[in-house]
Amino acid sequence: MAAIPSTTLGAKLPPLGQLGPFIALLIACVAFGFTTDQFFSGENFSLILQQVTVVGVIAIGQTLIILTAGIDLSCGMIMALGSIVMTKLAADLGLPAPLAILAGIAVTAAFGLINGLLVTRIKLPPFIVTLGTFNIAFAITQLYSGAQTVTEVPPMMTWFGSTFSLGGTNIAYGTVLMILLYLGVWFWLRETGAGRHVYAVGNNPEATRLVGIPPERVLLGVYVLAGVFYGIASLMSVARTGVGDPNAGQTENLDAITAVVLGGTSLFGGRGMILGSLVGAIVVGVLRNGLTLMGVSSVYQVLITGILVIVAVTVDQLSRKGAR
Amino acid sequence: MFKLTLAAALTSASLAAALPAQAAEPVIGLITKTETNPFFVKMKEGASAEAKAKGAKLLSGAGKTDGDNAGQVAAMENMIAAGAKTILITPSDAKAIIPAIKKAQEKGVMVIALDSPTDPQSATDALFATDNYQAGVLIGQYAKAAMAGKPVKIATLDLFPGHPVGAQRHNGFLQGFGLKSNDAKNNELAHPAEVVCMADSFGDRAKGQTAMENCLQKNPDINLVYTINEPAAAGAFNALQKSGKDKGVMIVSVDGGCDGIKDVAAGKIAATSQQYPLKMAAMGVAAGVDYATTGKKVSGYTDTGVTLIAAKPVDGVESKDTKVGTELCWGKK
Amino acid sequence: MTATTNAPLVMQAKGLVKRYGQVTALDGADFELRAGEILAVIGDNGAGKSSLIKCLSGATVPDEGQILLDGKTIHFKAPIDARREGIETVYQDLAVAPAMTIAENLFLGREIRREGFLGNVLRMLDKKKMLEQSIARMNDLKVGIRSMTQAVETLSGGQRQCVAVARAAAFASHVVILDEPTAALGVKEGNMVLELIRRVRDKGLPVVLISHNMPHVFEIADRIHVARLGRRGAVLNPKKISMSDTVAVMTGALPPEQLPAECLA
Repeated sequence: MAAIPSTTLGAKLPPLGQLGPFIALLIACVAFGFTTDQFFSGENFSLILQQVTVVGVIAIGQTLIILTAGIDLSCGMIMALGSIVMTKLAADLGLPAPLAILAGIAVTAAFGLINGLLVTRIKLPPFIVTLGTFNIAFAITQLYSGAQTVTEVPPMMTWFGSTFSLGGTNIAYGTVLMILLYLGVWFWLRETGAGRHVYAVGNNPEATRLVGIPPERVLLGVYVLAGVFYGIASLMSVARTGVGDPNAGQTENLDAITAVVLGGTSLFGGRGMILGSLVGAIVVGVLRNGLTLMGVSSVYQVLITGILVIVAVTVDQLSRKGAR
Repeated sequence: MFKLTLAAALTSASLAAALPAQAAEPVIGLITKTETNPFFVKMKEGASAEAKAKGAKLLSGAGKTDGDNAGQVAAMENMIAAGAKTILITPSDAKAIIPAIKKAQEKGVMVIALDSPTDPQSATDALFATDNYQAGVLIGQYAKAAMAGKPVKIATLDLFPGHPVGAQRHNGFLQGFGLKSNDAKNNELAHPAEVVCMADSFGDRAKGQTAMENCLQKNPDINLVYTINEPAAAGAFNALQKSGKDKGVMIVSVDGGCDGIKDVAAGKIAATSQQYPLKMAAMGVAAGVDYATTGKKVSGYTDTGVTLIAAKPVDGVESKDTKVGTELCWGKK
Repeated sequence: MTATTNAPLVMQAKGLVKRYGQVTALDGADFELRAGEILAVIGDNGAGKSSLIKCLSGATVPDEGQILLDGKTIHFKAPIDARREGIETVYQDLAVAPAMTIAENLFLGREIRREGFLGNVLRMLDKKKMLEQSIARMNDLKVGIRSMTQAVETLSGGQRQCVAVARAAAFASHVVILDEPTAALGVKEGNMVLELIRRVRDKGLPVVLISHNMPHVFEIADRIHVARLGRRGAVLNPKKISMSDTVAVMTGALPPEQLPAECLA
């Protein structure tokens, strides 16, 4: 191994690996600011934040799972199931909105629990488990909804889609919730023992076992917690579109993983920043918005996103090699 | 690899359900592009109902995603092995499916394309389809008449790059409106100057909303929106409503699902071209039963028709009202 | 007689038996660890030394026999029971999370929480305190690593071993058990670890050291426990017996009865 050039490059990378997503976002914003008139406005930024809220909240759960060296391919489908459950319970059974919302989140958390049990008890790889639950969640959603969109939705469920004015710009309550959730999880991961254990389990599960922390307990907790966040994302989805859509969430599975990877969290576990996932989600939204404003075909959005993912994973690899 | 296995598992499951059958019962296979698109869900329902009515056994399967040719090939092979004498297929890849079709035909199986043709069209025994280009033309003509000569700023909310149905509806719309467009064989989206914004909706509500929002940011004075299908149109309406522009902007769409017709009646969508997936599927099943009992194959192109549904009729363009639309719509009425 | 031959017994095992199916790993093994000593445990493969250590560290429950700690009989059902009694073990794979800092690894599983509301309700960790204590303990043991906030993976193999040993020493109140601590280390790094082990002993913690490395064993052990055929073969005095004779006792080529009394400990 030609260690000398890569270690000097790699040794500089750990801070770069962390700053990378922010730099990418900055570059994108500056580029679009120069090439279009409409990009740089409070209203446009608020819009982008609303557009990435659902993926952003899903990405919180996905980040936790990826930090444990796992992955969740079912997240979008679980989110869709949650939104169907909450809207149908309100529409069909007349359940009051708060109860229906809680029921929806309970269902998504239960799916998280199923994922977690299959990973920790039956010891199946998370990729395989969630590939299976992805299909199961989708089928249940289609069957329960009869492939019909639920259009009678109580106003409380759409409240997070409504906006308030901040210095002349309209900000959605959902945006605020998303940011608060990110800050809360960031605090939890940085400052509490349970949060640090998530990193430890992702980095070396045997080590945690030997020091008395059962990795299975941490993993189970992470999958259930992720399920809760998917449920919150279900509510955000209903709030944005105003309906319970059984066909929602199909691209969100990979979109959430993209956001996490772009945000600098390592797919190998044990390393990463939760706030990076928010930046990753925003970067994708900025690309989509900016390229539309420029009138550039969306094919380029896909191309650029793909390139950025490769860059992000490469930076992660180099910074891990350089650290040794 | 996993797609293949999953598709095979899906078809095996439906085959297993289909197996306790008498030898005399005609066996017909239906292969859609995906399991998830409501259009194909309805198609499958139509086929099942017709099969039940005619005493035939229906096997169903699909690819994993739009474009999953391998999944469709596997499904076809499994169905033929299970005794299907007629295959109805909405081809994901118009060219790549041809070898599998030829193999099937060599075994005496009749293959009918539904909804979109193979390339070349003659590779299948017959084609029951709807003309997606014509669907676009109709709403284009409606929009032209309804706009009554006002200068237009058009936004197109398309499917995603490269998809033939997306291209046909988009180009047909522009053609019907009288703008410079591409012909029905062209997969590239035409972009005359009047189209100020083109964005992808993936036929999805939430993404349609995002696409409309971004287009409005680019051009706040868009006054006409073409959408690839009704869920995208619903998303677009949401976005317009949030910006307070819903009254001054016209949305047109394609599909004719019952939810979409409701939106036309509610004034959210001005006009939509209604297509008949159940009819396509039912005709396909009937042809399959005919072939099994009489040995007579069906051939050629049969257009299963498209009807313009609009709440407010305009001069010079024939349309039906929402009552008719509701009677004929597919989905939960 | 060695310096520690008459020191009080810290840990003792009598007649340990452990069978794995047809294989008898321990066949009535005895063991004695005295205060203030470094006891090396050596033995050929299959002699039963790892099974012995596993019983002492709580990783395995013996089928028969007794283990005493400070004269009191104890029953370990899991490693955590041993840790509660102040017995810390450093395993061959070190049990560290490489991406996390030295301070974090030191306190992994034993994190200190802040006082009051921040600690009890928000469950915030007292990172400052943990860092201070890490620095203090490492300085105490004269481990020469500059920053406790660097990631463990940036350390050399020898430094990592020192971190693992220091962690065990920091939390042990009775015994420190080290499994092949100098394996896979170069000469300089190996010596660094040996120095550290000496300092741990000097602080008053007896150390049980499993090793294949005869020169290292002879350099720091006060007594050498030879495991043979599932039992205690002999306990030797490294100051009086030669390395080659020790190896001979270990392989069985030299029966311990033939050794002069001063070689025994």
